[in-house]
Amino acid sequence: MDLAGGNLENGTEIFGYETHRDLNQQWEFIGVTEHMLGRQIEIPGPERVIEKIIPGPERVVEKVVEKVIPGPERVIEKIVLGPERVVERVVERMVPGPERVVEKIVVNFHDSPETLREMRELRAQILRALEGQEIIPKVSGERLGEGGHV
Amino acid sequence: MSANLSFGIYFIRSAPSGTVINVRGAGRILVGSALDYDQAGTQLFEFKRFQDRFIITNIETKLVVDMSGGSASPRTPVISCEYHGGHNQQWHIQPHGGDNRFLLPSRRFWWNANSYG
Repeated sequence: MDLAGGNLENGTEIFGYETHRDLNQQWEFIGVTEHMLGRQIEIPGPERVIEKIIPGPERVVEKVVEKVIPGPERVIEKIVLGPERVVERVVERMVPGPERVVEKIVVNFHDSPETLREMRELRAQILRALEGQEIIPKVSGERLGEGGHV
Repeated sequence: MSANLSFGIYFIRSAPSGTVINVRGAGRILVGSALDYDQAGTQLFEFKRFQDRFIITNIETKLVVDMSGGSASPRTPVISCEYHGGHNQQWHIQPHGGDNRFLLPSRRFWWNANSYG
């Protein structure tokens, strides 16, 4: 494979030609396995952001945003942006007492009107809890706005 | 033949220009695009080993790299087209120098390549 006339301009056609080994017949291979598939980039900043490109028949770009929310409890908000947007919120709380108890709540959300409503409600609950106003209730299957209850 | 290159998916970059090969449908294969991970389908090629040679297929169009018309004449265009298994769709990979650079003689050109190499 030979770059026609050694021309380096954009859109140059490629030809077959006798081997002369000059620069315009030299090619480099950039391996996708090293540079693209499974590529993981950590983006510097106050939040931990990881961009991953996942191999497969369809190209999937997944962006993970991890944010540690400062406060008396350790709260990690993790947002995974992929084919579906998934929000995972992890709340770790040390429960005072003679034994060391760690209460951990993990909630996953997928984008939909229902889950977005749940996410807003849980967010409000967590914020209230962080302000010391109330204890975070366990997430139940009961959803606000259903069955005539608001 | 490169000992390191086996089956895999690669960008093919022209050593002097630093730009990569891309395919725009059946027909022309051009060089001159900047490597772009976000528009990589037309720039990525699957190398599949066939005996001591390779079949090079664009991952988006599924068309293979081909010496047009099976000709062994100089200045025969390199194109992309449907795979038919001919010698003009088979490529040798010869290491050249120590900088991860390679020559890509066509199987169709192989006798010429050896004569001139």
